[in-house]
Amino acid sequence: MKLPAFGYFNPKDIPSVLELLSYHHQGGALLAGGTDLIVRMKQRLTSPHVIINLKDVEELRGIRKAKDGSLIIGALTRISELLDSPVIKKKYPGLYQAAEAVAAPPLQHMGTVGGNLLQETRCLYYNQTDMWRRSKPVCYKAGGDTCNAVKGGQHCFATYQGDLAPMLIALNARVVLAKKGESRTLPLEDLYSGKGKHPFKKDADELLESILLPSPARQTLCRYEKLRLRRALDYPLVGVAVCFTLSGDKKTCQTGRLVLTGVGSGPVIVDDNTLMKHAEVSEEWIKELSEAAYKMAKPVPNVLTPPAYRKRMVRVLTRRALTRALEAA
Amino acid sequence: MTETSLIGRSIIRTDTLAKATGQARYTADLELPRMLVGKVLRSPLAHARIVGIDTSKAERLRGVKAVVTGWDGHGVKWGVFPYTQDHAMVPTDKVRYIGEEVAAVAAVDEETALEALSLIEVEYEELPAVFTIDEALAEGAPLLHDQYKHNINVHVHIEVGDINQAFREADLVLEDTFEAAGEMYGMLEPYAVVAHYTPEGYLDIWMPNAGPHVRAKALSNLLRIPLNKIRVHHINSGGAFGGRSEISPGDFVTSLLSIKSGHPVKLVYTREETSIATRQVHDIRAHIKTGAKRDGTIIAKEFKVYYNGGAYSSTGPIATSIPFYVYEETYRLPNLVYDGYRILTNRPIRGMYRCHGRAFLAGNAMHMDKIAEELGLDPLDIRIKNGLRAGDITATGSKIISCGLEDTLKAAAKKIGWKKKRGKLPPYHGIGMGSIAIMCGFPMGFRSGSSAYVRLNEDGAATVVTGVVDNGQGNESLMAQIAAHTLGIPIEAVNLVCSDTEITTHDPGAYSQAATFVGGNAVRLAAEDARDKILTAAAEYMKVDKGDLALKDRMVYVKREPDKAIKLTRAVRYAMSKGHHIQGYGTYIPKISFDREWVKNPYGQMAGTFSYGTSIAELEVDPETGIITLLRMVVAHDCGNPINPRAVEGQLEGSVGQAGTATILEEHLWDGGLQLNSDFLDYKMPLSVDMPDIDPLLIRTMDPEGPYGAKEGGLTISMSAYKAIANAFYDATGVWLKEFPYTPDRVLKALQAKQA
Repeated sequence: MKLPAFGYFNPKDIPSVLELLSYHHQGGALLAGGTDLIVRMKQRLTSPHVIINLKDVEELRGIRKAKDGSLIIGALTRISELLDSPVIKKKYPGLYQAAEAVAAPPLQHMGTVGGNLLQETRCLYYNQTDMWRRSKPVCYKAGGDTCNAVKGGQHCFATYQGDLAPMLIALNARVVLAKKGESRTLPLEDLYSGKGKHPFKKDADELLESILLPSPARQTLCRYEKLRLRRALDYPLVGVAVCFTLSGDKKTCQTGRLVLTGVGSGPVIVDDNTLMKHAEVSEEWIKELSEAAYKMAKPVPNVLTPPAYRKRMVRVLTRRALTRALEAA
Repeated sequence: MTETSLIGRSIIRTDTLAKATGQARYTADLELPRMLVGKVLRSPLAHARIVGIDTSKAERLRGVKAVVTGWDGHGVKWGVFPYTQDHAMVPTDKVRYIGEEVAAVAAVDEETALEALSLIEVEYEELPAVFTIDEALAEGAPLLHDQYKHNINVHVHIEVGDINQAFREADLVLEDTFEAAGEMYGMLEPYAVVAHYTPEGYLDIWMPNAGPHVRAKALSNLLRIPLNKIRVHHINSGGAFGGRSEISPGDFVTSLLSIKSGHPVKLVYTREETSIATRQVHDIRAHIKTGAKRDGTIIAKEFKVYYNGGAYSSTGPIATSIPFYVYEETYRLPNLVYDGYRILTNRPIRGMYRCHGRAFLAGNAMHMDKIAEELGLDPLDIRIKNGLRAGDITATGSKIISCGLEDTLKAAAKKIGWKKKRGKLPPYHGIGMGSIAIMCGFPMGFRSGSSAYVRLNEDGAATVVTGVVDNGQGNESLMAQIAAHTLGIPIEAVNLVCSDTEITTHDPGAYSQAATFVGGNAVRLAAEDARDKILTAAAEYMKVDKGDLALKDRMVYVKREPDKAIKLTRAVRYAMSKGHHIQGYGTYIPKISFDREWVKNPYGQMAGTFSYGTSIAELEVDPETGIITLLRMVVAHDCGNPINPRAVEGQLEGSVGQAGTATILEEHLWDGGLQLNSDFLDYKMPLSVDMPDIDPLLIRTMDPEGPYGAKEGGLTISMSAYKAIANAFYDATGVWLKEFPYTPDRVLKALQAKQA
């Protein structure tokens, strides 16, 4: 399959990118690793007339330590660079697990952290070629007024299947968005609209510049559990990220977050320091959280395996994530 | 001679270097002067009358050199059999599945060709469609073809003995229904063809295909071009697995485009097109009733098997029969009735597949284990008890001339530690087995035989000409190895010329596991003929008795006095100087019943010989997620005598990857007539990390007919791996899971049903 025709820019620094974005925010696309964009272009799901290649923008790349001990991860940092980073492996084992769960090594070498966070929502009835889509009415995501996956669906249910976002949200990451002449920092979860059709709350002329990752408190436990049919390559059918900090005696969970992926149109925050705040670590607590996750998950039949199965797996995986995190303590 | 024997040596295949280094040339790599790009317009509807097609705008587009529709053909419908001629390649009456070819263009580049497609206007009148076996068979269902009432395309009925009496005498009767979704062939080389209609009126074709002569004949019929004007040439093939057996619309339209434009035309399908518009695998539903005596002897079998065939006949009569035959070639079945129905639906065309019939075959394997359990027998013993042996005749009348069934069962069981593990592993951890036989070449009428030609050149090297086709399994290398061994020359001294309708000899093609047994025998005979002529010349030159001479290491020597020797080149040149050029010819046709017919007379000798194999699987089931982890597979295959053991082992490992892991993961998913997973992301072919540990075991039975005792190399595992997994799943969970594949949701549902 051929790519559609497009114009091409190869800026070397962030100001040039922002300048180009301010001109081409209509119909322009940013190219990072290309593992998501190129496939969508080949399938004619998107046909940007201008591509702004980010690969030569060195300042977008790399993992740096800030003065306060937090990490700054450039959006263009490759997934494989997360895996190669001793500090990620040691201080953020949950993020390491999530990065390792992304696709397969060849894609980890191409795909970037920013690209992964901004990975488009997916649907078995949408992520198909233009030839395929001609056999079906035009769906919401493609600009039409019907949903081909959910009978009678009143909006788009495309599923968010990123592996990194749930863990980074659980780790209280923030992101820096820049546009010409301004920049803003927001919690990562605020980047997601939860809407299948337009999943990101980011202006078209904004660039995701970096991810700010606070230093985890002592006795913080993290775990990412992913369900997929093959042991590599596949997107998560369900993904569960947990991160929580234990008290000194390890009997209480002081603070924590539980986030899902693959079961909604964005990352789903099941618990943000509510059930996980000053809670006694017990079998009952694990059950309570698993049940909460089960209730929050809203899978629909637009990825492989039936929704009822995936919903059930949310409970199983949440339980496993918590149990395995505690086992590692 | 034994120390230099090439038979049984794991030589590096002749094609390995080019393929491993990326130098091997495939159809998509071909470049010819003035070549155009072909593209196909496909139906977006599952069933619709074609009211009209307007190609005028596309024809006017700059850079477009030809546009064709079904009206450019001659109205000929192709069928593999006289009674299955229903496929016009490009329809003019109605489209019958989403993705069916409606028109095609040839243009100077891909962009222009694609733009031209968008300019073709097709008016359809949509018709009601049927997608499943039940929908197609329902009273009043719309018909795909008027001649197939109730959409029953093929009905194979086989009857042996008296099942009614036998079921009355049975101590145990089991009855179950098994279902399996169709798989994807998944060959990595997408469908591709280059056609060039020359000014002299020849149609030259390059494409991966299983049989060039069969392909040429079909094109000749469809295009009304004399057969001698169609030349199908040799090219590397990136896998077939049964999927490149017949003529397909792509060959037809590319030929038409070349004829119409006067240019060579190349058509390469996308993965999606390969997935929806080439043959893929039947969905199958199998009702199986089994009757057994108290001692475990199976005395009655009743089968009713439905195959969802898609829109056209394809190899229907064969596909409707093969699962039954490989089963009856394995076990003694004194009383049986087999009814196989191939049902037409508005889905893409289904064809023959290397692992064809998993619902039927795994169903029978589950019944075997069920009987063993009910009667307190070991699944190993009950298989040996019911298994055929050399000298036996199968239910439909095939004589077995060599049989390693029992040996494969025992060898595999010993290797994995069967007695210690079966029924004794921890919960959700299990082990299971399955066995099968495979015919080495089935009747293909006058095409059933193969011939070969061997020429000794002045440097003592040989040119071997054979019609044998290599789809990636190593058939070419095998022919070189047989010839080199027979002539006492290294394999590097053999030049192969293969599978070209104009240049090479005749051969059935890479169908039905015929290559080693049939093609290999022809090459062996041709090489023996050449050897005889070398020895005649050498005897005259050396003034010794011909019977005292032998060939080894490019030398002709006296057997009792090995120092007395001349160079092979000396013998060859001496013969040439006398006007006796050394050329050998061999032809081999298997001893089969030529009056056998798939539907009308399904009795008699099916093949010259049969291979046997056993798979044993060990697996774990996660009872919370339903995910199966395939830990290990021990696979034992009786290939008579492995000519290249490593190549056979590769086939066995490939079979585990294709049939074994597929049991867990692989199925085509549908929304009516629309395929949901045509790519390698959502169609779950296994990755290296999904593969189990594999122990391939080669069993030698020295087939009396096979070339150097050899039979086919590995298909028994493709047809038994899923049996082993089904039975291992039962051993692990206590659940007979009768629906394939064993995806985690199905597993969990079955486990829940058991608990309830």
